Amino acid sequence: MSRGQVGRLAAVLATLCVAPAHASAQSVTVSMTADRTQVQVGEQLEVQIRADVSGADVSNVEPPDLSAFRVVGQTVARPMQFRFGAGNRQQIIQSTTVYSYRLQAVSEGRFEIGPAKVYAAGRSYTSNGLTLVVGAGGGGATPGVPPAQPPAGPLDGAVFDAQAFVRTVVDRSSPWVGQQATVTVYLYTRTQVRSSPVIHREPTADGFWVHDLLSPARTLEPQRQVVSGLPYNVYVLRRFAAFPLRSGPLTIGALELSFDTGSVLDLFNPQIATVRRAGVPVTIDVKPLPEQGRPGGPIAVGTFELAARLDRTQVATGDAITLTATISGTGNVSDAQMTLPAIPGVRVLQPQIRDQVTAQGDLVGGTRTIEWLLVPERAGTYTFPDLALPTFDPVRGAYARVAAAPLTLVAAGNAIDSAGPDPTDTTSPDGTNPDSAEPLTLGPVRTRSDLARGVRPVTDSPWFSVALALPPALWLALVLAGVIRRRLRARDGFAVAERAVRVARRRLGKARTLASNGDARGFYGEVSQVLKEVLEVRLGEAVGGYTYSQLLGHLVSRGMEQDLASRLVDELEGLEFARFSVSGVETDEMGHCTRRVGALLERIDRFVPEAGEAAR
Amino acid sequence: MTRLLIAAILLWSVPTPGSAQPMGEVFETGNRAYFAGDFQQALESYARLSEAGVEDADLSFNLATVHARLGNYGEAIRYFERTLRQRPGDDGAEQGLTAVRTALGRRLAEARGEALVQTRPPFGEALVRPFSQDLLAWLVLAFDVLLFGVLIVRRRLLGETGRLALGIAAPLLGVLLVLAAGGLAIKSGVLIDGHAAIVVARDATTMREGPDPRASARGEAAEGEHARVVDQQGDWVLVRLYGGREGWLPADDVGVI
Repeated sequence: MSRGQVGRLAAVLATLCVAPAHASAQSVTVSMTADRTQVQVGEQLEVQIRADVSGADVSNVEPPDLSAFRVVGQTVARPMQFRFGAGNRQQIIQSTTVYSYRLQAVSEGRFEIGPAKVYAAGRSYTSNGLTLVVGAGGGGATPGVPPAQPPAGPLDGAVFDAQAFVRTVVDRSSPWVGQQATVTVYLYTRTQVRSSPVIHREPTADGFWVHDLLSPARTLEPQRQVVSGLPYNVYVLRRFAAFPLRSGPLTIGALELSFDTGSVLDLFNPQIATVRRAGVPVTIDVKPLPEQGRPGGPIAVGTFELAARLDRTQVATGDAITLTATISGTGNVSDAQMTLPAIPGVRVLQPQIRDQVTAQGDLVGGTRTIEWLLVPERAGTYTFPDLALPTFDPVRGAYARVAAAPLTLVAAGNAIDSAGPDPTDTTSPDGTNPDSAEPLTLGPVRTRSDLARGVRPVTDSPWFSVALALPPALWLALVLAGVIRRRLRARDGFAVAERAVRVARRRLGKARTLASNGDARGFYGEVSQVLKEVLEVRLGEAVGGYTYSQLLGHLVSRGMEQDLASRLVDELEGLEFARFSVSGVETDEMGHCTRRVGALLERIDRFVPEAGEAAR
Repeated sequence: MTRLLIAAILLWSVPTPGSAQPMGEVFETGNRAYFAGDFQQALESYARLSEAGVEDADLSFNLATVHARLGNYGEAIRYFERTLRQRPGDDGAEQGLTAVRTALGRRLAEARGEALVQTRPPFGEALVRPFSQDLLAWLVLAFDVLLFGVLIVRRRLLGETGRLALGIAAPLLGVLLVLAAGGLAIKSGVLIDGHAAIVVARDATTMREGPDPRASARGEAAEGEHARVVDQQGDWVLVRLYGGREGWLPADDVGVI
């Protein structure tokens, strides 16, 4: 892609990214990241330019010169947020614009990608730069391989071994003091590693501040690379950002490890062997920051933004207020130092410092928050001088000065006595400094307290045990109540059935009387009724709706023996028949019938039905 | 609400024992002394409040800060730990603790040539460190009510979908209940003997076989070491250090968190 094409692309993108915003509190952060910084010719990588803008319009975006790569795709995403400030009176629009470029490496080399520029509210903002290393290619690499692919080409940072070796790769050979260099340690092995390697010696990084870039919970996934005609499995063991703290030659020490190879399941080579290897130290030449144009005092190397605020702007003399300075951006944010100039009439206590270090891809940055506690000792209006941070952009190789807007504080009340030693002085009362090498960085004491007396823990309250036991007790009581209720219901059912059988026997006696009086129709009707009622009480359901064949099936389904069910149904059928054909019926026959029904009643009395559909 | 306000006002104005000065004034006196650089006077004021029964995270923080200024790093660690117990996640206390441990390590290294300062609590305690005991207790209670509530409702529910949903929810709530109860057990220390404490003696102090200065020495305990006080006899306490070492120390050399 030519420079002209890139320019046209920028113009198109710029027209897309215009977002309406009311300038209230402007804040613009621009960063550029790559999903991988080491690729081989033919491979693809993605570069993202991200602009976080608050309270301003993005009027133009100028991407860096990407002509060393072929742009195979690009996308723009612009999520936008609306936030309301204090009391909903102040509307702040926050927008984020992300340009993603899918690039393909076309030639070997080390490419310094300059910063992207974003124009907002009449000012230009620059991102960090990137260093992309493109290897010669080959080795079976394909587009879309995972990041941290080992560079091809000359085998630097290692001693070749036909079985296995450790390789240390540093992406910059001569960084500035404070500039990030990314160190990757690879294990090359011809065989599969059976389990996680045992690290006997970590790579030393004396003279560096380091930040790990790999998750401790990652799994070892091999990549394939051909070295000297031999295929190797390549594992990434360590990957960290190293920030040189001084100039001159600095060395990344060699990592030493051992690992097991082979498998008991391998029929051809079931032996397990332990291989021990050590890498070689890699020395880089760290450049001192240039003297020309160098401001005095400590310098933060990277691309940073600075914001400052007071928690209150009006205060009584003697009361403490907090001045917070926030430094954010890319680079070693822990190395950014700020001192607050002396302010006559205001006592400044030692600051509390909090760091939040993050890494976007391989690019380390973060936020450093510095909080000073200020105590105005005299009434008046104090205008704090500009808080400023001298920086050095390692990509552009130039110094810069980032500053926050000035702040004003109004103090009212009587002047307070400021005599006495400085509470921020770490010297002990006996005149000796216990921390001569480095001051003890402590925050000030707290000026407000509830002075609460000991509060008894909730667990010691008597109600806690009761409350804890109540739900399980309630549940247990319900379960027990259910069991008891079922048993009582079952017992009531049996009692009713027994009572029904006793009543039935009495009614059989009455039927005998009817038989002796020659009333055959009345006899059979009474006996039939007795039998049905006993059966219904025992089953717990009406049986009048069933035909005899259905009744037989139903009785069997409720668990009645086939023999008893057949006899019962036969008897009911016979009784029904006899009731309507009573002529010529002998008294003896009715006596037999009474005995048969009596025997059936006894068996029904012993019968325990299973739960039927109705019962369920 | 009004009662609460009145109680707070009364509490603020309650005089400390041995004087008619309200607690709020004693606290202010301590603060003024601190800002004037009179750390000893500040310590005395804060200590009076502590002796009067005030158990407040801000007071503990101030005690820790003043002790650190005076170079009493063991005591400073003790009070920073107490602050974190009273208010888990207090950023200032966490940073103060780190700073004091670093300073203590440096001082011990200067005195002995090398020093090992414990910076992390045991794994179990580290897990529950961000949570207060009360929060864990409330969680246990909430999961207890939810779990058995779900079980009770499930018994009454006729719909299959509802029963299935509650059948899935019940074991999840059971797991959460067990986790919260385990955290509460660790936090409240019911699983471990004794009270958490810090060795506050300046430099090293000798642990002995018995509660007597003539008893055989068992080793040394360093300033700032974590310990559990498991017994006390007179002016001596039996401590168990992390790592299992055990011995008797003068009670003044150990401060309970």
